[in-house]
Amino acid sequence: MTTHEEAAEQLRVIRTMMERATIFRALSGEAALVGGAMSVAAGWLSEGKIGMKWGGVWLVGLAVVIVFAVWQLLRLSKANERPVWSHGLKVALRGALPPLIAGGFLGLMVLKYGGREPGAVKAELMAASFWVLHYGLALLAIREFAPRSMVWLGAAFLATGLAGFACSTFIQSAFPVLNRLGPSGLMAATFGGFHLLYGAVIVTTTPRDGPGA
Amino acid sequence: MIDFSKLDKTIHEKARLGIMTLLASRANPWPFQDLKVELEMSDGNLITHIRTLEQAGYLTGEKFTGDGRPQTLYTLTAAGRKAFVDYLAILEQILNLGK
Repeated sequence: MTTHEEAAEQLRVIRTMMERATIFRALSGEAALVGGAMSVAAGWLSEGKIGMKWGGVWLVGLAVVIVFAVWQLLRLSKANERPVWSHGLKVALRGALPPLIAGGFLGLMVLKYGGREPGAVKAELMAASFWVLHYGLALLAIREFAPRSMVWLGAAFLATGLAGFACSTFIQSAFPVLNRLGPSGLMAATFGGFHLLYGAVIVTTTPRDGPGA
Repeated sequence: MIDFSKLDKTIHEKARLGIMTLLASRANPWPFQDLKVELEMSDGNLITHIRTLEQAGYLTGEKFTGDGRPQTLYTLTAAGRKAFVDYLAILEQILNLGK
């Protein structure tokens, strides 16, 4: 083996190890598309519903996406002959779960106990803002193990979640716009629109024979 | 002119290069068990290479014996990170020379 070939081989080892140190990046494209499509459907189905019925539609959608993501993870790990329960996945879950659990809990609390008096901010709108905001925080929590594109996705969710709260409360001039969009519209635009856009970019720009984003 | 003797022989071995790369890939420490899974190495093999890197001053291990199972977490030292970066620079030079 020449020195040049040896150097190329060593770089290949480094590249493989770096890829192993990250989470399954190939998961993000297809999972984002399915999540996006499911969110658009949930947005349509939840329109007009309130309280836990509204939340229930989104929880069912979430369950479907989780099942797909797990199936995709199993499929990819089998194809790559890698353990499913990898270090990257464990560390990513450790980072993402706290904001997801906190956001899910707060959203459900608002749906269950939120005020319904006239003039008050809709509980569903607050719950949607909590979910969007905390999902953004979860994505940003795994930025060390995720491709840069996912960091942008996280930042978009975070900014929209904060904007949702701001427009529902102290930026009164923007409230009519948010109110017209409604909680289902906000969820469909973010979990649906952002994911579809992100998934389309990843799927069309990532080589099919390897991970990457 | 590249001085090939500058290639760090401690890192140049594939298993140790794998360990160094994983440790360099993020700031958080790596548990022994996770390194073992990612590198697909036996306990004995991995510990031998880790000891070599520790003796070179490239990594440090810290034992934790909390409520759960005791585990050792490994991180790159400043010297280890510098050695890894220098090693990459030489590999890059070699590859550029072949163009």
